[in-house]
Amino acid sequence: MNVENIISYLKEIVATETDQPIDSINENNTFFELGLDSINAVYLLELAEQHYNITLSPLDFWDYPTIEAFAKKIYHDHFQK
Amino acid sequence: MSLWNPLSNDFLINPYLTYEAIRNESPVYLTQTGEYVITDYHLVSQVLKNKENFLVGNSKEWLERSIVYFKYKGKDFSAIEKAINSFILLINPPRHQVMRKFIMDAWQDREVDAIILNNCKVLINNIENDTFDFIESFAAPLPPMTICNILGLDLATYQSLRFHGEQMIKALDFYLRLEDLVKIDQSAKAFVGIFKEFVRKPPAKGLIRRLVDLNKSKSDFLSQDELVSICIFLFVAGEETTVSFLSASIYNLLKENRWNDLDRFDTEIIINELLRYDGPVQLLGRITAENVELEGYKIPARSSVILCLAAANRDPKEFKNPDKIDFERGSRHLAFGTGNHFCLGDWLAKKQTQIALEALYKNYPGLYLTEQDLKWKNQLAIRRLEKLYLQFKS
Ligand code: HEM
Repeated sequence: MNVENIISYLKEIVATETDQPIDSINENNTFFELGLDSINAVYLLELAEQHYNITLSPLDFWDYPTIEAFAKKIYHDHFQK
Repeated sequence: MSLWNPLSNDFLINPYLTYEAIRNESPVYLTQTGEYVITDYHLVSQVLKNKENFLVGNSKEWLERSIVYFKYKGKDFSAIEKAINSFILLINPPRHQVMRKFIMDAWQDREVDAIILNNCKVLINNIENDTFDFIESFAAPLPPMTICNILGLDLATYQSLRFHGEQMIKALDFYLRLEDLVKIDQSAKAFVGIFKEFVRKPPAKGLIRRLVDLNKSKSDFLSQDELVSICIFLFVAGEETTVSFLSASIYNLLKENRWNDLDRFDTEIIINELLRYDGPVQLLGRITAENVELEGYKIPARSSVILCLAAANRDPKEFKNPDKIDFERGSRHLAFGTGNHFCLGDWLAKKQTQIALEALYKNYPGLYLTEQDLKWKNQLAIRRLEKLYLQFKS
């Protein structure tokens, strides 16, 4: 598991959710810019939690507001040895 | 890192440090999540009184949008909407005044002392050990027992509803997760199912009967669904809030070595200061109707605003030494809000706490906190202890 894997998983679920091609998703845009709001954030949080079998905070999307920052946070809290 | 970390453990244990830090940064503080958090006493009070520019119902709007959204994901949370549709706390003028007046007209009977005293006696008699969890054995059952008596519901109904009430109130909280929606929906279903029957065939006596009769005399101006939702709200509005207040009051009095003050001061005065010092309702939500300016702070239209009652009640500009309990300060706290949504059950909450504290003090003059760790529930709008172990020494 590394940050790159997590970034590509997050890109995938954001692309599906916002109905955009995965190549158009930039990991340095904010979730807000990518078209997410506080409701689909609830759903994506649940997806990511189940996918990695971890618990995240609903505020993580705002405290780590880009895919890259969020991926690093997940990696740091749950996978870094 | 932002100053606003309401889901962190530190915040749950002591939110007052965060409130103070945020107030010092700005009395109208824009969070990373996009809400405007207001911590200044006068600004909070001003907003609560400004019903034209600051609307209620942000949790209702959010839940309604979530229900639509999750429907497309194959999840049905529609019971939540049914349950909360007439929570007057979430309804704006002009409908709000009509519904509020209707409830007040039906709820004239304020004779509750005997009911509460009896419930306190039953609960105290059931406490067998000298060390006990005060929440489980007293604070959690008392308010739903009393509200069931008031509504005219029996003990069996109380048993099946009390846990649902604790779960349902999460509908008014902030930053929900999917699992919260699932739980709120479960409880909403249970409430709607049970209260539908009671509204159709009300008990012979009690507040449900009077609401239903009054509605008949006004040629059914409220629908069955609206009556059901009103009853649900009367149940939940006073449950978690009063559980929280009873337990926090005992905790704070014992922690600050003020238990014996129940001998020295009027209980009403004690309660008033405890409501200021550590009230149950910490945060309330509002939405701005248009662009507004609050003493120079600009808030755009359609913004979420979080009114921090508990921070307002510790505003040093309003209360000298706000972090000290002082029964002589005569505090004008905002624990029950102010303006058009001012709490409809403030008298009941105060009466219940007064009778409970006096009965407990009489039975347990020597009461102490134990070494057991405190545990706070994972919720923000109403702050509440999950366990509170006490020890009685004679
Ligand atoms: C210590 C206990 C309690 C506290 C701290 C408390 C606090 C509050 C607050 C702050 C509000 C205003 C909300 C807003 O402006 O958005 C409110 C509203 C309300 N409360 Fe309480 N409450 C308590 C107990 C009760 C009880 C026992 C009842 C009885 C059923 C009750 C019934 C209501 C109702 C019906 C409203 C809505 C009023 C409206 O929207 O017009 N509360 N409460």
